[in-house]
Amino acid sequence: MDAVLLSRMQSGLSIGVHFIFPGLTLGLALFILLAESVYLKTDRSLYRDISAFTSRLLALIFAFGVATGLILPFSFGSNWAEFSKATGPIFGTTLAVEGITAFTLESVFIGILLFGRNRVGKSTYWLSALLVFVGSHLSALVIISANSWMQTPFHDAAVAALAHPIPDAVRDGFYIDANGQYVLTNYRLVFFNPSTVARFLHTVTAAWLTGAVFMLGIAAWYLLHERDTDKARIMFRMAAVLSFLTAIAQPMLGDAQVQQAGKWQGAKKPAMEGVFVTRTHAPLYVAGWVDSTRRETHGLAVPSGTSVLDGDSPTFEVAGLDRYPESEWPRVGITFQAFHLMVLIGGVLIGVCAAAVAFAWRDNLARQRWLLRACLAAIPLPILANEAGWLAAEFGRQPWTVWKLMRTTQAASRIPAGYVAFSLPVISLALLGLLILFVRWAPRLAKKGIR
Amino acid sequence: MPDPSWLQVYGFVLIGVALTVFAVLDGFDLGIGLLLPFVGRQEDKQVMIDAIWPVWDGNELWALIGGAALFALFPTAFATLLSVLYPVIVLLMLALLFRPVTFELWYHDARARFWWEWSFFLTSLTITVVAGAAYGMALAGFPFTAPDRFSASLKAVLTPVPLLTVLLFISAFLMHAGAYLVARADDPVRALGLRVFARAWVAFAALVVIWFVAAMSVKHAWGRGQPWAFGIVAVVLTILARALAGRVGERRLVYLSGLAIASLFPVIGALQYPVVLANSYDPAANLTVTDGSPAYTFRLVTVLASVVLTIVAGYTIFVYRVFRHKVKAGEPAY
Repeated sequence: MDAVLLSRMQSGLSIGVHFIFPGLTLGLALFILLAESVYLKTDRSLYRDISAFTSRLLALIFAFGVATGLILPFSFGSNWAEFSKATGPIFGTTLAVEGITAFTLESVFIGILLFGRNRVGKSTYWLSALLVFVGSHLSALVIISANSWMQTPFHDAAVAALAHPIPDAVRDGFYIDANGQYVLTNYRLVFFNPSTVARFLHTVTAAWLTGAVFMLGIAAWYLLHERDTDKARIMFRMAAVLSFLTAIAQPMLGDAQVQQAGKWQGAKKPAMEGVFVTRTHAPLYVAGWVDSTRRETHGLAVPSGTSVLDGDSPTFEVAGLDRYPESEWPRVGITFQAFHLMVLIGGVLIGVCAAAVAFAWRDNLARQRWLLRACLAAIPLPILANEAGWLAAEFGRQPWTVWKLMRTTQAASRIPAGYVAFSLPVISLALLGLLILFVRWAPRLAKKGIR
Repeated sequence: MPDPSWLQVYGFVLIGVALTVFAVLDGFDLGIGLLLPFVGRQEDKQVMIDAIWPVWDGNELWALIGGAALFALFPTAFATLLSVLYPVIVLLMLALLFRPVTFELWYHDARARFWWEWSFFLTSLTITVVAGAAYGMALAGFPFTAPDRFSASLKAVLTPVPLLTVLLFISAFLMHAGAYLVARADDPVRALGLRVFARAWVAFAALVVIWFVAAMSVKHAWGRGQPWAFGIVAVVLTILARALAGRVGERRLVYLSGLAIASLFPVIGALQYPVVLANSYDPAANLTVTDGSPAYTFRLVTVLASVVLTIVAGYTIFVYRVFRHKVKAGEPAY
């Protein structure tokens, strides 16, 4: 195996493990802010206890998020040196902006949130909750903007579709000079590239869903075990409403991203949908498999579904992979499966969350053990869906690191493969160890009582 | 090398400031990591952990700011440094991966505290040693064996300047941890802090002088800065830290040790300037402040950093004021 593939595996694992924690962080930060706001208004100690309980969970999640996140900027330099050298004026700037404006807010004010309850006034404490919320979401916006730029650096779909598009200083906010150096000319254009906003909305609402289902499952556990039931019931209601609203928003926000990929990223959309040949009456697969050698997709499908979704008519012609040279195809099988796993989980979650909302205000909620068990079992589902969606987005971007401008093989460091062959198992074991610790300790902490 | 613009100089200084703040803030929690396994009583360890817990996140963050600013302003230096130092960076990554977690789990996992405090020690030590060795090699020149190849052998580190820098950092962070405990704890931890401060200061003071002489004696092909003045300031501040230790209030001792540590960085900067990444294989391949990003990126990052980091400094001071009380033993942290 060469250094590029090994580096892809190492970075994929590092980012994949990291991605578990920011999703939960955003969701819990919102949950804490909501509980603190009610507490500030009504002075009911119940909400203070819910917030304090959630804050302790957030502390653990945040520690794991910081740990797995702090190594990522280093890995850009160590494993993707050519990418870093060339795009540093743009990509490095985004990481610096994140560190300076966003990560500062969350990491300084989380100290107050965790340890400052009796040391600052009520409104200062609420403000700290707000700033942790703002900081973590700003962080997400900046990082998602960096990723979006790698996906859609051009501001003109016709240009993005060219075989060899050239970025323009005025149109795209950057250009590439004779030495291959990326030169930033307008940060606003790079920051708000065509997919930043849609990607941010989809990712952040998915993160809220992740946090809400996490709290929903925990509340369900307390109700199942008849502990702290008054607080658990309130927690359950808050989480049920939040998770339901964010779950039903996903099909719309998600489809906006699919359409966006279709407009800006050629082969990515047909790869996600498993459409090899351009055709009318294109089916919408619910689940299936891709036969890459015979270039066919099999499975359970809604006839003409994709045509209707894309063009409101069964006779709408859907672009297939055959429109693009094969050297620019992502790996179809894994992109297809990751995408469909995400969609499938999204569907299951809408069902669970709708049932949770339906029963949340009923007196017999605690006796609906099937529902409570389902909520508890649902905790890992949004995390899996996030991972799958991320895999679809990133595998779908291949073979490019920066769309149509830099292939992944050009982005990697020119280091001996032996280096990465040594670091991959070491880093993988460390990440696995961290995951085991998290899975072991998060439930223990969650069972300590809502106070 | 073309004449640097003032923006390029300012960017160089800005990265230096971020790394200085990192050493001054994270210095004491790294130092407490170095001390923890050697403290006898459980309740004393608890006080030490509680004293740094609310603030460590905000401290470690400055390494990210310094690193990301280097990435944005001097991407070639950033990428070359991290890829040629690959094996060392992997070690650093392991330390960064586990340190925050050891901290959190020391508190929750009472039965395995022995393991968690040694992991906390090892990760803190690794970060200190890697930082010291990196600064040392920045001064002595990174031992490249080709323009973009680096000899990963230990021999590169086992030369006087990197070794002395490592020892200097260890003594500095121990001294700083001692001073911080004096500010944040009651006896017996306060007394322990005072002893650690006094002993580590002796090592630190001796090392500052030896280190400075050794660093000055390296044949710097570049050497356009004026390190002498900064060197003298560093020595004076180091002496002042000890001389005033008994006269200032308990809370102020940590300012003195922080100032002494901060004074090392202008020395490093002046010895290095205008070189960002020194290449001992071929001094002509040195990356200087003029080898950075184009001007637009410099304007954006330096202006943003100057404005926003001032605000960050404001609220960081606010949070430190909230947590200025003496930590009480046996009080649940959260």
